[in-house]
Amino acid sequence: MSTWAGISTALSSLRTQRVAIDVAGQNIANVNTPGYVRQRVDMTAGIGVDVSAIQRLHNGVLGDRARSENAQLQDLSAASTVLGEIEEVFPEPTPFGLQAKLDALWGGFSDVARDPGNSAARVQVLAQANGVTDWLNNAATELGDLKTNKSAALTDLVTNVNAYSKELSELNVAVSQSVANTQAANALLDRRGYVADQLAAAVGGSFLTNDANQLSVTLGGGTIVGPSTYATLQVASSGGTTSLQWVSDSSTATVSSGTANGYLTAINTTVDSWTTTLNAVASAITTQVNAVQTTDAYDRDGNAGNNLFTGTTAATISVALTDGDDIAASAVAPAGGTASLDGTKADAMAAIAIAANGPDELYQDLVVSLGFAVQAAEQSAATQGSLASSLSSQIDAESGVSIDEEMANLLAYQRAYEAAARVLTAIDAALETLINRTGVVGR
Amino acid sequence: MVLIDRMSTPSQHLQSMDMLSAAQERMNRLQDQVSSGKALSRASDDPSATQSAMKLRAEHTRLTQVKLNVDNGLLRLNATMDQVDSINNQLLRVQDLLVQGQQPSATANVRSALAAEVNVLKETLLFAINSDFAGRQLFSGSSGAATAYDNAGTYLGDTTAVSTRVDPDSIVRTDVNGPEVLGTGAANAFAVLTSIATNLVGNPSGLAANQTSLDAVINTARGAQATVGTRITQLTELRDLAAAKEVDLAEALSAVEDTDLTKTIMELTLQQTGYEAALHATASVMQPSLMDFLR
Repeated sequence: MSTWAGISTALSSLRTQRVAIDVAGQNIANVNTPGYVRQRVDMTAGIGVDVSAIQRLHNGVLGDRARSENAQLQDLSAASTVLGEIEEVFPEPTPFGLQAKLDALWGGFSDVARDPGNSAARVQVLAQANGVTDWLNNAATELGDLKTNKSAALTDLVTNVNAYSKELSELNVAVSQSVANTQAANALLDRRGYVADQLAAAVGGSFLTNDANQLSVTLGGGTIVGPSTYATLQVASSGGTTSLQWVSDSSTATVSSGTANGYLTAINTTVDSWTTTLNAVASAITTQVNAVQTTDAYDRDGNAGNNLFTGTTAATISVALTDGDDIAASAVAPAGGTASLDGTKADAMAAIAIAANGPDELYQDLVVSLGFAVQAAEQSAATQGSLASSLSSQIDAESGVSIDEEMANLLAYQRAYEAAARVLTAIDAALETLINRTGVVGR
Repeated sequence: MVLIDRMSTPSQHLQSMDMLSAAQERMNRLQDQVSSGKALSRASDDPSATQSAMKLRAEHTRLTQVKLNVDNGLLRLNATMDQVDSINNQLLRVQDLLVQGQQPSATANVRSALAAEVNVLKETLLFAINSDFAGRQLFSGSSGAATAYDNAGTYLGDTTAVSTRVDPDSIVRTDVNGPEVLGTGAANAFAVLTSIATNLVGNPSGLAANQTSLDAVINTARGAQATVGTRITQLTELRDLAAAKEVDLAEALSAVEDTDLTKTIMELTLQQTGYEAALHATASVMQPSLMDFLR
């Protein structure tokens, strides 16, 4: 055995422990970096010791599962947020909701019924009718704005998705050019995993890593990220339906999870369905009040009654009369040119409050089913959330950095480094003895 | 739940944070309930309770209207009662005069004086039957005519009832119309009084027949008096009923909407204790690190 072998053994240990200390330092430095996967130095014994690889402790299967569950979660929580925002349009039970406006309107008709000759009561009931229509118009506008906002958010989201796709394809190229199992390659993989998580949260998709460690992502059969290519998406709207399209051929990209799907469902289905339900309330108001107004009813001047409301949707409903005297409160035709002071028809309009399938009943049903829908959406988002967070704890248990563990490792590597240095000193001392002290007997 | 055998530093922090923010959220929710006094702030807090609250609020509005209706009806009926009472008194006075005019001792002069008084009473009767309440004729039915009777004693109103709603299913009449008080056609009070005045002056032998028709008129007026009295009693009972119902409604609404303070404050205290415990636990979990023990 060569005299110098011991020195290089000690040297290899010094080098290896230095790398290990570096890696522990890297782990500690990135303890809070999102997407960072902890690394470990794999050592092999040869002549001395060698760094065989810097392992990245990552479980791919678990990662893919977590990605798809998280995409599902983003979808559900977007849906739940939208429903919550719709619920804010209907502030019940408060004095600011439609119920309070309707109560005031029916009460106003009662006032007229009690004293049909009182023009103040008639003017007031018109003001209350305007209160109801204003509320409905506002609610329709707010629901429309909600759709517009979600469309804008979807456009922003798609811009981000396109950036993610581009970065992923670039990272694929960079990974293929880097040397495997080095810190540099690991950093690229960490970044790629992180960007892939963001892409999944936005639009879902299936993720596949091939043998050459290149990630491809497909979205409903279309490839959005290939080994070195990527495709861009755009928001398209036609015939009242909003969808995501491939920019290349304008065909529809199928999205089934992620925030984008939550937004698409909101824009295409959820908001419209509640608007339709609200329209039924508006329509009931117009139809039922007008039916009383125009059937054998006479106004303060003795003329046959005209429609009080026009429009049968929340957006278009409005009050058609401007003169309180035009409210047809009387069921008695004028006699001898004198209008009757009968209030039967006003009483009939006040009674719409308790009519079966009347506006009140329809509106209360709307508020209750909306409340249940919000509860259900929040519940399923919470359930999915606990599933996703359980998966992310599992991932974290495998890939997360523990400072305690790194401290213990540092200690081990530092001691090994010191010991290797001592080995070097010992060999040095032995050589010193051999070179300088040998053969000087009797000098 | 999967058993996690290796805990990384950030996830330890995250879990502590989650625990703390969950405790804080529960506490905030209770605090909101205590400070606003409302247990329901949005429909999804409790959809069924929201529906009850909306129905109760609507019912409260209707009850307010019923109370106004009943109060207004009572005022109107009381005013009617005053006039019907006075009409009755005048008719009884006419009866007195009629009896006097039929006395053998009544000379032509006496009878024409009596006739003059009957004419004055007729004017008073017209004034009473044409009285109004809050600008609306009391005895003209639902008609918008300016007076119930013209000076000739012709009824100008109609016979459509004036009613007020006291309940979703029932209405109560709050008027009696002219003919119901004074009789109809040729037998009405004005015709009878005119005939009495005429007969007192020129045809004393016709007075006996007048006696019969006057009795009929008085009966009609007394009937109206009884009807109005019954309706006043009915509305007074309804007013008391509505007041009692309002208290019940307010209680029911409060039970649905308002915070049960005792319960909520108890829960809040419990949550606060829980939150403090979580803070302590976090402090003792987060602080130690191997770094503290390595030299």
